[in-house]
Amino acid sequence: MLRFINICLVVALVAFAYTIYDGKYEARALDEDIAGLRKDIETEQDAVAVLRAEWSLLNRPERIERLAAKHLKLAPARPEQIVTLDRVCDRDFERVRTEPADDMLPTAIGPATKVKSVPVSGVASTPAAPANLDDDLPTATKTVKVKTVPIKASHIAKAASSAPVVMPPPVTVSPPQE
Amino acid sequence: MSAAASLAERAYFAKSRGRYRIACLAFALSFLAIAIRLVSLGFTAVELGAGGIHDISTTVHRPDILDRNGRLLATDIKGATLYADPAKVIHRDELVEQVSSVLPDLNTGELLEKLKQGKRFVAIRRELTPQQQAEIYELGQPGLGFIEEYRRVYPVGATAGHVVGHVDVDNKGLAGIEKFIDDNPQLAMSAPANDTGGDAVTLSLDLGAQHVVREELVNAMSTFRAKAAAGVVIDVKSGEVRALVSLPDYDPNHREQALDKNRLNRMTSGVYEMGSVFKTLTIAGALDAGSSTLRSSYDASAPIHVGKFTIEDFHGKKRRLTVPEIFIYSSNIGAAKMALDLGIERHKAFLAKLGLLSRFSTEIGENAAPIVPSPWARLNTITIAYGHGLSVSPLQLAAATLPLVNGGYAVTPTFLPRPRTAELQAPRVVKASTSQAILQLMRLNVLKGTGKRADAKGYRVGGKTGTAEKVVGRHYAGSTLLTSFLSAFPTDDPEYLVLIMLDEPQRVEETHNEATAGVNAAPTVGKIVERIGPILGVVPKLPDDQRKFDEKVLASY
Repeated sequence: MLRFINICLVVALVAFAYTIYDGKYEARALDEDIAGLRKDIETEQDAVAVLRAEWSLLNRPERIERLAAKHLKLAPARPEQIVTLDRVCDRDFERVRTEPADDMLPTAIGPATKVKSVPVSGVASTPAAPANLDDDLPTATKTVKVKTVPIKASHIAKAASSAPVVMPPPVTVSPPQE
Repeated sequence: MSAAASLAERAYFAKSRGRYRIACLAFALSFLAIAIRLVSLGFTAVELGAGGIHDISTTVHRPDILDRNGRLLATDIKGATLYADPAKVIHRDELVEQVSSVLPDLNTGELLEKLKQGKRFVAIRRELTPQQQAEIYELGQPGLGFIEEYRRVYPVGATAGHVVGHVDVDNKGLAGIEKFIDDNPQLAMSAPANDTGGDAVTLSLDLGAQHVVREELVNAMSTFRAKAAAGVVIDVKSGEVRALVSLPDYDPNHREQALDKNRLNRMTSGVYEMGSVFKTLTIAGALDAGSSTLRSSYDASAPIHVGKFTIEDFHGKKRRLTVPEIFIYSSNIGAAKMALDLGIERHKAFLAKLGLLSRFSTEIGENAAPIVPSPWARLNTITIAYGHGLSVSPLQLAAATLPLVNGGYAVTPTFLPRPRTAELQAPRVVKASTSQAILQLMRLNVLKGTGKRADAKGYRVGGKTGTAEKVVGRHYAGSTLLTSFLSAFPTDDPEYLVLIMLDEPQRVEETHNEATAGVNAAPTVGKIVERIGPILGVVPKLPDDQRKFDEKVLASY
């Protein structure tokens, strides 16, 4: 009987020892992992700091200005181009609507019938509904409303007051090759 | 077996059982002690030796500095410092030779000398580039080591140099906001952390506006061949400085440039007789005290003689002038007479109330103290009325003008964000009606007077030109001028104050051989306002007939 108990105890001891050592080594391995990860985080943070500095170096206003002058056909907004919504009246829209529709399109763009899907790289592999892409269009593409839509200032005012007005989806015309 | 023997054996056993128990107890106790020690060792965290020689950092980590839109103006990146431990060096000459192959501008003789002295630490070069560090590592020379140190970089360079300031090699703030951060460590603690989890201090500066002001001043300096230029844009309602430029400036990445006296911050560290822009203050004082009204008129037909001095008008009209005329024709005689009407004491008290007679300071350091005449006699009041005889720093003048254009509240300029409601807590120093009148006069001056060229389309600029003669030797020299333009826009509800100053602009062809403020400082302000207006979100207003609703804009709706 005593022998049996002794054997049991010895087995239990070995089992405990194994479990404890196993746990201990696991914990030590985890500790090493943590230390390694901390070091990695620090390295990454240093790298982020360098990248942020570089980003901000590349975003210096004078550089952006130089690049914009070189690559974009844009100019600083003139005061007469800045209009607040409450100062837009229906007359402005009438005036534009009665003019020949072709003038509305930037002249460089081809005939309005050449409607294609939006050439967003990687996103629009299938012909996507262009309505949702308004915001992520690459700067090269231009969104133009279908010319026959009667736009009224009241529409826009309503849209601005959050009620979703049914607006026809914008049709995107692919720009000429540059 | 004899009974005696067995008895003796039994006694022996009884005795040894006691010893046996003691021995068992001793073993048990020692094993217990070992077990306890093992467990306690298991609980204490193992300090893993961080590998290599990159783990020491001696410089302090500084918070990032951001502009009001979160654009980075200053940040820390890690850089390595190369050092040698002479005790571990094997071949001194070879080491020096190899290191100098990577760092060609190294002073080899000096390094060799230091290595021979046999200390345990010889710093060779700070702020190594990663490239250089890798190359030195490749040398595989024993006795060389690196210390990782923080190194301050200023990505926008000179653009915001005078405001941000710079640090020394140990990353301690020496000037500008950097120094302020060191003196006020709570700044970074209260600020929200940036996206890398570090501290950040946000300024009131707008990098876009700062760049525009700097660029236009650089252009103005080269066009008018001026020696120096300075400009400041302040939010009149909160006192936040949106842009502050002083040229020539320095790149804080090259801190040695800051030692050059010519690159000091003229906005805060230089004092100047600012000239006719002071008439704004004189007229404000007279209107505020009620000694004159906008309808008062003064005889400006004859020069004033005081002792051996004669005060004349530059744009002389030789007739009686009303107060608005005094302002837009910039009549020295008229301004002097208004100041005399106000009275010497009240004139002085008004300037003191605006803070022009005492030293004032901002976050980027103390301004140079104004040079106030003592005693303050009648002649002083006469000359100070048109801006001579009292030297102040341009930023101090801008600060003194804030109450005149914001409805009367003494808002102090600040480089830290402050909400626009701040004006309500600031003490009122002039009447709202005075402020209104000054704005009208300033606008009138741009529409009809000397400031015509400052009229940025749509932004309703109002301002006053100032052309001061500089003292050369002991006399005022007619050809060395300091021109300035003090303005606010939009005048119907002012949001920003713009003050620029050009030091010794020359008569150039572009200005029809003139060098007064109306032809150089005023157009510079016009160009600045035109560009910073949209950046700072000021809505331009044009008469309806000039407003052209752009077809292309409509097409993009």
